[in-house]
Amino acid sequence: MVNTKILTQEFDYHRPASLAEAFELLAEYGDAAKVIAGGTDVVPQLKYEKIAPNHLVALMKISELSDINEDSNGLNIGACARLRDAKQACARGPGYAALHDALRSIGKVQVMNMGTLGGNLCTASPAADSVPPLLVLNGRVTLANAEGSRTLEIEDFITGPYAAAMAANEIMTEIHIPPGQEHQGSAFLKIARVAADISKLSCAVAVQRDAERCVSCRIALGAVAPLPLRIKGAEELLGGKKMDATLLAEAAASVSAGIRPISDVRSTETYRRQVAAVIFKDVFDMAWQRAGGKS
Amino acid sequence: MTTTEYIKPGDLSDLHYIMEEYKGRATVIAGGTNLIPEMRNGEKAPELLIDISDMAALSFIRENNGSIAIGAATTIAEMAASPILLDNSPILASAAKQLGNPLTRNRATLGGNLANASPCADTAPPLLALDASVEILSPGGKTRQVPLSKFFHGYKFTDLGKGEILTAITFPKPNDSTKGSHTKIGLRNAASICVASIAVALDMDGKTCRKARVAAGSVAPIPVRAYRVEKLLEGKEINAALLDECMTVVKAEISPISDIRGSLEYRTYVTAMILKRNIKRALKQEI
Amino acid sequence: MQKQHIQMRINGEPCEFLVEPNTLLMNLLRSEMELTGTKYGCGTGQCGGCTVLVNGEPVLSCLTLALAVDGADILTIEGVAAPDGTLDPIQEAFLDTAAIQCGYCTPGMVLMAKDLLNKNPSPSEDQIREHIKGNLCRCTGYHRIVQAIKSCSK
Repeated sequence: MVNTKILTQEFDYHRPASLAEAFELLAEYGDAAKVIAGGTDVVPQLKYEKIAPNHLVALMKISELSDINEDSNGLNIGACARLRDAKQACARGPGYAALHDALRSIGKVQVMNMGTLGGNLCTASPAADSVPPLLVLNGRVTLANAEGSRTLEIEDFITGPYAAAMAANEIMTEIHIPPGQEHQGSAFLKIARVAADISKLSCAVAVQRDAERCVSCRIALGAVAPLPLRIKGAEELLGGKKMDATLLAEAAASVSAGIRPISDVRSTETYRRQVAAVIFKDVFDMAWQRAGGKS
Repeated sequence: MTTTEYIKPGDLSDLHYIMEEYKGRATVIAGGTNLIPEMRNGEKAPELLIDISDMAALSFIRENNGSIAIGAATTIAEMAASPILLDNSPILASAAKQLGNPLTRNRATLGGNLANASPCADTAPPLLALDASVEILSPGGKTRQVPLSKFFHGYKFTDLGKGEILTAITFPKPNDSTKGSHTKIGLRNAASICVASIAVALDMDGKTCRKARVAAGSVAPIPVRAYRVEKLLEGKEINAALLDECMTVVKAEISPISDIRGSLEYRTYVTAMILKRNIKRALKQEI
Repeated sequence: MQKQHIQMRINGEPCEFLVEPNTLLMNLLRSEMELTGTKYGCGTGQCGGCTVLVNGEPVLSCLTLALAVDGADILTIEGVAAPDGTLDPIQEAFLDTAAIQCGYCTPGMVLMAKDLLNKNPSPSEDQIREHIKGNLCRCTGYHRIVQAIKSCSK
C-alpha cells in the first residue's frame, strides 16, 4: 500500500558540499544512488515506490549549481536554481519568453520555491512544462561527471517517458538558452484541469518573422506523446511562407495529426487532438505578436 | 432486518431466568450501536434480543475497597463524564470521550464495546493498561472473572460462552504513584474509528518504573498488551535511550494490517510515535 | 539508515534532532514536536495543507526531508500568533471574515497570506488568488479567504 503520510523507504542521505564530492558519492554508490534537488518529484517517486535508492545525494548545498548568469551566448541557469529564480531570470529578455510563460504557469508558490529547473528536466516527465519551451528555444543542457562535461541539445537529452540520456555518474549542471534575436518571438500555453495541476496538453512556439512572412518556426508540444514532441511537419509548412489564416489552420491540422496522445484520467485522445489545434493557433499568435515587437 | 422476539428483563433475577431459558438462542443487545448496523447489513439475524440497556443493576460506576467497578450497560457518555473515572483513571475517561460521536456515546455501552471484540474497541487499551477483569454471568446464575488480557481470543471472538453475558468490568484503583496517558489516532478528531491507539500506566518510584502496563489498539487482531515493552520499562530509569528502545520493541510486538484507514507501515510508525509520546506525557515530559 | 543530527529554529525556538534520513519535515513537526497545526492532506504536494515557511519561504513539508532543512528557520501556524496569544492581523481577518469552514486548509492559507503580505502589502485580488493557487480549500469556494486577505491589504 502506498504511504503518503510517511516515507517508508530507507536510505542514507548525503549532502556533498562540492561537485567533486558529489561525483565521488555517485562513483561509490552507482545505481544505488539517486540525486535529489528540491524533492518535489523525487519524494513522491519514493512514496509511490517508483524508485528505491539506497542513497540520496542532495545537491542543494553545492552553491555553484544555483548560479544564474547571462552573457553574449545567452542565459545560463544552474541546474539547481529554484524554479522561482529561473522564472525571474527568464524575464530578463524577450528571447526567453516561452520558458518564462511555462515557469509562470507552474504557479504554485511552494513548488516554485522548492523545485529546480534541472529537476524538472531530469525527471523527464512527458508533461514537464519546461521542455517544450526549451525545445523551441534551442535549449541545451550540460552534464558533468568526474572526467569532464558534455553539452546536449534538449532534444537529445529527453529520450522517453521519465528517461533521459544521462549516465548514473552524471549530474546536470546547467541549462543554456541562446539569446533571442530580433524579430523572433516565442510563447507557451497549457491546458490543465485546474489552476495548479499537471498539464494535459502544452504547446510552445518560437517564430522568426520578417514582416508578414514566417522565416522559420519551431513548434513543440508536451503531454501528447511519450515524450515532448517537435512537430516538424507543421514547422516546414510555415517556414518561408507569408502568414494567413488558411495557412495557420493548415499548420494547426498538421499539429493535431502529428501528436500521439493517449486517453488518461486527465483527458481523452480525441479531446487532446482537437484542443491541440486550438492551443497551437493561440500560442502561434502570441509568438507572432511578440516577434512583431509586441509583448 | 428480522427479529422474532424481544425481551427486556427488569432485574437481575429476570435476566438469570431468561439466560437459562433461552440458552444459546438469545442475543444480548444494549446500545445497539454495533448490533443494529450488523443486523441491517444482514450480517446477523438474531432470533431473540435481550435488551439490557435499561437495567439499573448493570449501569453503575462504583469505587469500593480499592477497586473500581463499571456495569456493562453503563454508557460511554456516562464514563466520559464520571468523576470517579476522571479522578482515578483519566486514560479510560479519555478513551470514552473519543469513542464515536455524542450520539453513539449516549447509546453505546462499555460491555458492548468489549463484547464486540473489535481490534479498534476504544475502551480496551486503557482497560488492559489498568489490569481490568471482566465479570461474566453464566447460565445458572454463576459468575466468573476473567482478566481482560485473556478475554479476547481473536478477531471478534471472546471468552464468552453460549448463554453467557458480560455484566461488569473491574480494575484495581491505581495508586498515587501510577501515571497514565492515552492517545487515539483517527482520521480526524471526532467521530473517527481508531487507526492506532496506545494506553500506558506506569507505576513510578521516583524516576524508576516499578510496574508498566502498555496496551495498543487497532494494530493486531485484538487489542493487545505490549508485554515486551512493559518488561523493558520495568525496573529501569526511563530516559531518551530507553524510549528509543521501546519504539523499536513495540514495532516488533504489533501485527497491524493495511486497510482503508491506514497502511501497515503507517500504523507501525505511528504506534511507536504515540508510545513514546504517551510515556513522556505520563511522566510529564521529564525526559 | 544512518541517523543524522540536525538543528533548526522552529517558531523561534532552537531545536536539535537526531533523525532517520527518511523523516519528512511534516512528520518531524507533527509527531516529534506535536505541532499538529501543519496538516497532512494529500502527501504528494497537491493540496498545500502542509505548508510551512522555511527561511521565510513557503514550502510543502510533506515533500521536504527533515535533513534538507538542517539549519533553517521554520515557521508553522503555531508560531504566527504572538507568544502571549495575541493573534496576527491576518488571523483576526480570517475570523472577522469567517474565512473558515472545516478549518483544514486554514493553517496553510494563513501562512500563504502572511507570505504574500510580507512581500506585497497591497495585493490585488488576482495576486491573492494567484498566490494561494497551490492551496486547496474544499469548503469555502475561496471567496471569504480572498476577502480576508484583501482586508489586510494596505
